[in-house]
Amino acid sequence: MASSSSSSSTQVKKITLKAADGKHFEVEEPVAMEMETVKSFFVGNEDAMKDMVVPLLNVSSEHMPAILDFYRNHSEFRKRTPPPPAEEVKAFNEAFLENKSDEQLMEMIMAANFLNTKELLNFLTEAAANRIKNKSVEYVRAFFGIENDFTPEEEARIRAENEWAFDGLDED
Amino acid sequence: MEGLLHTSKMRKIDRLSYLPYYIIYHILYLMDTKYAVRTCVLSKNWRYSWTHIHSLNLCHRNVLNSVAFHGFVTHVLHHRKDLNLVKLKFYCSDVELDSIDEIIETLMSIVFEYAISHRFKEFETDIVDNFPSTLFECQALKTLKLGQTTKCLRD
Repeated sequence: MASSSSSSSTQVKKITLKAADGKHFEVEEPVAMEMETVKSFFVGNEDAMKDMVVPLLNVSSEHMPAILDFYRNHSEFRKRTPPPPAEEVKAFNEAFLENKSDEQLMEMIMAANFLNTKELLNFLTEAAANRIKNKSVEYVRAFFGIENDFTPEEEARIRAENEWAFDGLDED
Repeated sequence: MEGLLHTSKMRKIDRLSYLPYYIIYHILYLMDTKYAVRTCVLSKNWRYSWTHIHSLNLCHRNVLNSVAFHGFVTHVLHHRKDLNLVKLKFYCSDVELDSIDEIIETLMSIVFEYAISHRFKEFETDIVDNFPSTLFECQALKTLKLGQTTKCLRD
């Protein structure tokens, strides 16, 4: 059980989300509604909001706290007047990615895709692109978890056909 | 409960197959097209993935010289799937040289013809003059960005 140990002074409606591994997360309604997948659950059935648990089959509980943190902060950024300085948003985004492994980043992209939230998905795909650009083929393979199924001859031939694409790689 | 997501071996092997193609194409689009093309040697599945990119980022600075840039761009235009082009970034001046040589001039007309016939919507470039008149007759084009300034052609 995830703890929502708030002695809630304000009366914000909460929605319970259930991660793939069964763990429950109580989330403030506006934050939950940032996710189109959750929102569509209640369309035409607003009464259900009170006691329904929304199953998120493709999202591991490992990533839920970070994902919810992203929604909370970014929706606050959007609402704030005047808008927050760019450095503040940048600092949050950088801290968000700081300790995420490539594998975690990929899993979160899949989660964002399932939750159908453009803002988070765009942010994470951009982070992925930044991590792999100008990196060696071996690095990118490891990043995506791809197994090379070319023979050395085939690979050499394809590289030769696209020669100009392979100059100046990072050493990693 | 040990779900699929938590079987670490599965996780590693299947990471890619979870990812829908449109996300892969989107990640490819976010990079310079040169880096997107490099993904052709990752594996057989990836061989032609880059040819689906909906936008192109063509940058001279990321290629050795004008001849290589010409080769790169014509290769990309020739092999890309015949899909409409959403966005074209075309930066053709070299870092050191301000001038644009003949090879690049020829290339510019090839790129313009391709972009117009593929109904591009956004165009970002460091070219400042000698645009072909056909560019301004292109119905699809909505945004033209020259250096730092953005001009909306419509509305």
